[in-house]
This record gives sequence, C-alpha cells and structure tokens, in this order.
Amino acid sequence: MLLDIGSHKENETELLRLSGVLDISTVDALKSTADNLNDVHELIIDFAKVKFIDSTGVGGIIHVIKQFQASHRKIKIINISSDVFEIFDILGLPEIFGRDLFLKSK
Amino acid sequence: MSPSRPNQSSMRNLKKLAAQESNPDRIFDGTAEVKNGELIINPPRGFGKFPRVMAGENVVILLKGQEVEHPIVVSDRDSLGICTKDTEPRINFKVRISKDKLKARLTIEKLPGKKYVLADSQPMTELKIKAKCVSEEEPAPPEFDTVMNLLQEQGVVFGIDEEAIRCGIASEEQVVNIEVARGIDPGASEDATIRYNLDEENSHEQVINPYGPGKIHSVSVGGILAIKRPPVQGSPGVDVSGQEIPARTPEDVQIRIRDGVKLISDGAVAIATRSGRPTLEGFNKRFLSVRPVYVVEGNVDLSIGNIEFEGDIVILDSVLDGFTVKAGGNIQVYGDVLHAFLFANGNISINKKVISSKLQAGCNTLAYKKIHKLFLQISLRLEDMIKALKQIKSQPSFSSADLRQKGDGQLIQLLMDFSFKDVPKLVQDLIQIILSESDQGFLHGIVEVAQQLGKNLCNLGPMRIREDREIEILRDNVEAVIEQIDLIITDSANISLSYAQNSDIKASGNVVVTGQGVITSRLEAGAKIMVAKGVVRGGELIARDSIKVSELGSTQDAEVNILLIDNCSLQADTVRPAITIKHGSNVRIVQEMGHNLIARVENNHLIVYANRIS
Repeated sequence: MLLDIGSHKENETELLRLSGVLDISTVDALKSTADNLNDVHELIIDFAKVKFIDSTGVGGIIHVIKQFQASHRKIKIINISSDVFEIFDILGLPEIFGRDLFLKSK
Repeated sequence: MSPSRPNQSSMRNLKKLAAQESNPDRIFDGTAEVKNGELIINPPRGFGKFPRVMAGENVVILLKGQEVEHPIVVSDRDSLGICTKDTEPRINFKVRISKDKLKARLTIEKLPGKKYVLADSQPMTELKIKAKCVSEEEPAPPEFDTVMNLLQEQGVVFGIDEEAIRCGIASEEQVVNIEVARGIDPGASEDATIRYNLDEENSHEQVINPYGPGKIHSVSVGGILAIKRPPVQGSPGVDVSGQEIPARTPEDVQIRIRDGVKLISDGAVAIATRSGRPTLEGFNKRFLSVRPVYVVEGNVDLSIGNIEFEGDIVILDSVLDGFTVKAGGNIQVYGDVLHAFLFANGNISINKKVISSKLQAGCNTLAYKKIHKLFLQISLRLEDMIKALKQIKSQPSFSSADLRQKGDGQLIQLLMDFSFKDVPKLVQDLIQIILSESDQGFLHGIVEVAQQLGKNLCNLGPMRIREDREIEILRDNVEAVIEQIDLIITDSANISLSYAQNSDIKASGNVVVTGQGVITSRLEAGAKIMVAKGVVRGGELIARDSIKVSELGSTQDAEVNILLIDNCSLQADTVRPAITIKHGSNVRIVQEMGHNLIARVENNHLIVYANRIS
C-alpha cells in the first residue's frame, strides 16, 4: 500500500492531503515533499485518509514538525483519526509540540 | 384548611346612589365595615373613592369564586365572598430514620381544630377584614394501631419499642418526639495481629558486662518466632427496617518471612529453620528472618584472617592489628578492637576498648535510601512504559512492520524522547549517586542493574532494544533491587563501646560510650552521642539529635570540635577551655571552665550558656 500526497497551495499556505500508509516505505516521500516547501509559511497536513502509521512514520511527522517549528513557520495536522491520535497522544506529541497542532477528525 | 361559612355581602347599586347625589360639591369616600359578622359597603358620594378591602388573618376573600390576596376595590357588580379559615382537629405524625438506619424517631403533633367569625370593625376606606377564634377542639388521642400501621408504612418493622409508643400517645404535650425503634449494631470486627517473639531491644544505654556469657543464639531450629491472631469477623446487626447490617470486614495481615524462617499452621505460626538471631528486617515491609551467627571463639588474628559474613558476627575475644570484619547484621566483640576496621549493616558493640580503629554501623543507610527512591521512581515509569508500548501496538492503525524489521527500539526511543523523557534523567541521577558515593560500597548486583539502566535507557540506548520484553526484564531487575535495598536499609544502627582512642566511629543511629570516655577520636552519629560517665578529651563530635557528655575537654587544653546538625543540642556536666561548638556558620568557643553547659539551636541561632567556675 502506498502513500499519495495531494497538494494544494493558496497564498503562502500549503495543504498536503495524505492518503494511504505512512510507514518506513513511504515516509521519505513526505519528508522530501516537506523539504521542498521552502516558500511556504504555513503547512497543513490532512490525515483524513491515513490508514496506517508505524513508528518510522511517526518519526517522519516529528521531523517535519521540527523542521517547520525551527524556521518559525506554522504547521498543523488535521483530520487525525481517533486511533492515530491516540498513538500521538501516548507518545506525548501533543504535550510537547502543542495541542492545537494536532486536530482530531470530527 | 378549608374556607367555610361563606357570607354574601349586601351590595348596593353604588353608581345609582352616586348619581342621585344632588350636591356635587359634597364629596365623601365610600367605606367598608364589619358589623355583627357581616361585611357592609357604604358607597362614595359625589366624586368620592370606592372603598377597598383585603383579607386579614384567618380570612379568605373570594371574587367570582377566585381567592384574592391583594386589596381590591369593591363595587356592586362584584360577587364578593368572605370565608373564615376554620380548621378541624388533627394529629400530624412524622417518622425519621437515622442515616445508619439503626434508630427511628416519631414526632406526634396534636393540632386543635379552630372556628372563627369575622371581627367587627369601624367603617374604613381601606379595610383589612380579620377573623377571631371563637372555639377550639382538641383532637382525639391517636390509636396505637394507627401508629403501628404508620411505622410499617415507613418501613420501620424491627426493634419497635411499644412501651415508648404507648407513652407518647398518652402524653398530654402538644408535640411529642420519641425513639420508637432501635436496631442492633453489628459486632466489632477485630483485625488480624502478629505477635513477634523477638529480643529486638538494643540495650546500648546499659552498661555491658564484659565478662557476661553473651547471647549468641537467641533461637534454635523449631523455635516459634511469631504467632498470627487471625481476623475476627463481627456478628451482623439488624437495622430498623429488618435488613441485616454486615460487620466491618477485618483487615488481614500476613507474616512475611525471609531466610531461616518457615510458616506452619496455614501461615499462622512462623518458626526458625536455623539457629541464629531472629530479626525483623526491611524498610517498608517488615520481614522476619533468622540471621546466621558466626562465632569466633578467640581473637580475629592471622589464624582467622579478615571476616565478611552475611549475618551476625560474634567475636569472643579481640580484633587485632590490621584486620577487617564486615557483617550484614551485627558485630559483637567481647574484647578490644586494636588498629582494626569494623563495618556492620546492623549494630556494633565492643565490650572493651577501641584503639586506632575505624568503626562504621549502618552508615550506608542514607546513600541506600537515596538510590531506593530513584529505583522506585524508575520502576513506576518502566511499568507505565510497558503499558504505553502495549497500548500503541494494539491500535488498529498502528503498523508494526518496521519494528519487526528493526526491533522495538525505535518506538521505545520515541517514547523516551517525548512522554518518558524524565526517565533518562532519573537514571543519570541514580548513576551519579552510585558513582559519587562509591565509597559506601553498594552491593555489586545493585550497581550492575544501574549500569544496565544507563546502557538501555540513556542517550541512544533505547534504539538498541530489540523487543519490549527487554523493558519488562529491566523492570523486574529494578523491582528485585528495590526489594534487596528494602532489606538492607535498617532504621538505624548503633555503636556501643567502653572506651575509644584515636579512632573514627560512625553510626547511622546512636554512639554510646559506656566507660571511661573518648580520647582524640571522631564520633559521628545520625541521632545521639552519649558519653554519660566518661570524658571527651580532644577530637570531634558530630550528631543530629543530641550530645550528652559528662566531661568535655582536658586540663591540657586538648581541642574538642563539636558540630551540631539540624536542631541537635549539647549538654556537658563539666566543660574545660578550647571547646569549639559549631552549627552551620555559627561558632562559639568556650574559653573558660564551667559547669552544666547547654548549647541549643533556636530559630537557627546557636545559644550557649554555662555556669562559670572562677
């Protein structure tokens, strides 16, 4: 199973729609996409269609968050399923990076 | 209370009368009055006002069948009804059951019936119609059966006091409140207790008989060490509703045992399985064990060599030059300690003198307590981590593919980087203490577990973990260490000796000198130093609780330094010059001879006073 990354840019905000599996085999795609967003001031990653994630995938997300926060750019992850949110929560990511950065799907 | 005796007022055609008034200049307001129990309305004249009426005490005014509470203007069109609030004689009953349902009380309130008539009044433009009571009728005494039925309706069926009810009914008081039922309290339960048969008293303040036989084996195989009295469940009670009230479940306790002890009679009796000294050991939980006793029949000399023994060591003569004696329990020396080293986790007792030697009793307790606390915290965090790992892996959206490939270390590292980032700090603190207090000689197994924790949980250590089972093993090892430290930490270990010279003596509890005294020695006590009958000539005394000395200092001006820690106090019957007393940065030097010296700490200030001898 692969990871599709759909992107949509409006002004200086980039929306990345992830679809599929964020794991050891696909995490590099996310990282390289994020690496090429130098002119973007705000990044929104839509997790609505992320079916599975592994620890390498979590590591990838942390990498992108740290990258954006280091350059004082905004980042948000939206539509996180309750399963995936719980993984983030147990790992303590919302506690460390900020609860408003991780938005659960409604 | 129901309105009765409706009186229709005789109303006139007020409008018509007003129109008939021939002289419009003459104005009279209308009035209302009560005469002979009847309401009479006198209409206004000219442009005068209509009268107003309102209900007073025990009166109800009905206008078109509806009760009115506010003043109303009365006119001929109104159909006004006036009623008095007559009441029938009655009895109110109220049953109250206590919260624990063990008592029920009944209140009987007798209310007489009352009849009223309207009270006469003068004509008034605004009339408050009042009624006066003309007769009262007492209610008939309540029937016994009525009360019993009422109690039953309220669920009071057990422990009913019929005599009290009959008294209450017969009472002439208007309000009677009586206890009508009482349940049965549940019997008191008794918690289990353990009676130990130990000779645990440390009689260090007593003078030791150096030639006494000594008590080496205080228990032999099969000796009873403890008896448990099982918990006793109290008999159930009954509440006033007839329900059973169970007695409190008594607490049970178990006899915890370690080496040298066996439980019999379903755990109710503990007996020794080896000869030795029975003791209760452990810091948090107390375990019963029988410490083996190693007896040296003569001197510790070249023929015996150094001794290291897990239990108690009893030396029937002296410890001679250069030898070391280490005991997991107590050390008892019947002779002298000469140029030797004694280390005990428990008490040290020397019947004769200590010359140029080093004695330590339970001195690593403080260090062990420090690492015990950290091991406990680490154990709890490891337990949380194991749960977190299981929780993450059980999420349907979590894929373990990479963990299978690379091992669990990656996920553990994520946990350590975020929600468990306090753990490496705890482990580093632990290792720091172990390194900085390495002279305390921590047990090898404990140091090894600390090293394992450092290797696996600090820096990139977690990445090397292949499976979460390794965290469980770490947790198990930490728990085993906690248990081990629990046994090592004793409340306090004391040293008692007769005389010391040029020696270093350190105890986590008390240091007691029973003979001539101490010459140029260093005495350090976690609690008290007592040299009740002897002298302290030169050296250093350090204590946290109190220091009592008979004679402090010497005629040769041998310096004695005293360090008071926390709120430690000092008492000396006789004091000679060259005594330095310190507490923190406060220093007092005694330069003159005196009696009854007392030094104490008040509000962090050192206060010293003594009676001078001129």
